[in-house]
Amino acid sequence: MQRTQERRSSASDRLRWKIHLVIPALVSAGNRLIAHPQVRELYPEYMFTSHCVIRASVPLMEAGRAEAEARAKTDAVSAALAPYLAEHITEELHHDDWLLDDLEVVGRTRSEILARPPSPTAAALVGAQYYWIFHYHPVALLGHIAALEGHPPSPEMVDDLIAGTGYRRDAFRTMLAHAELDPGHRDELYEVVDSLPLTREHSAVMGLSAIHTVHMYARAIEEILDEYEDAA
Amino acid sequence: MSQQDEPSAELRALALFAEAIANPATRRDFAGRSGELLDSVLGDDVGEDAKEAFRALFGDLTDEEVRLLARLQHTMVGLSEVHPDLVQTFNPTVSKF
Repeated sequence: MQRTQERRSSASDRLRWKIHLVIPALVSAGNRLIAHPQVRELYPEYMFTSHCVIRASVPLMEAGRAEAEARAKTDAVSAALAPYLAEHITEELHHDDWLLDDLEVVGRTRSEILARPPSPTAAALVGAQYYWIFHYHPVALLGHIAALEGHPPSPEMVDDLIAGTGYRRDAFRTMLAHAELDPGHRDELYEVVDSLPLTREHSAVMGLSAIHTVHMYARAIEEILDEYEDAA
Repeated sequence: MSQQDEPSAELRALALFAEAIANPATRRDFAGRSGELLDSVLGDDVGEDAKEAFRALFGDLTDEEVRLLARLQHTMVGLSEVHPDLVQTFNPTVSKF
């Protein structure tokens, strides 16, 4: 990681554009899920997949923070990253528990969800972050966070899901909360990205991380849809 | 595509870029001379403003990013189905962190 980037466009703009290049796949998969004739059956499966991702958010940030703190004395990016992650951990605590509460509303018990093995796709989505954190640079995690917090569900999307599934509104508390909270988190994240003395390689690994996250999340949704292909 | 019949310059640039990086030889050349290559790929079909914006955003892509985008390039070409005003647009998805 030798050279600091020229400021031809902001680091956050470049990251946003990289995400925008691939986000259509996730938008499309989500729209297909919402419009699916069996969305009532699909929604708990989507919630399980979402839980597989969300349960890893705080542990991932703890891993990123620990690695950033270990590098902080000799690495300015890590030195700035560690306090951001420390603060964001507090903002994301127990969101996986919220989702388990929502799942109970649709008839899935906590023990059932926690006992079920996550798919290889969910493992690959999250697992890549551990690789980049420990074997390259913890700044990669910002790409993952940007991808997931940058395009939260809209309130209208949640309303469509409520109407389509027929579940009670309290089965959607996690989605509704993220629709409200994530835009603020996204703005904070992009401020941090622009404050870091990033090299071209830091930007690249954030971009790879974000693109990978979007791609794998879309694939995870597609895999749910595939199981109901005969009903579409 | 909003209300326009013609795609915006940005979307034309994106489609040309996606098509170009589908070619392994173009990809291999990209990291070494991205600015020159973007100019060549975008040609005269895209205005200078759009070219400049494109170079600023994508001129620094690394080999690995270009390879990953090439593998996913069908989603890039499908970008116009979401919204043409890319950076300013909020595309809601079902993703959560």
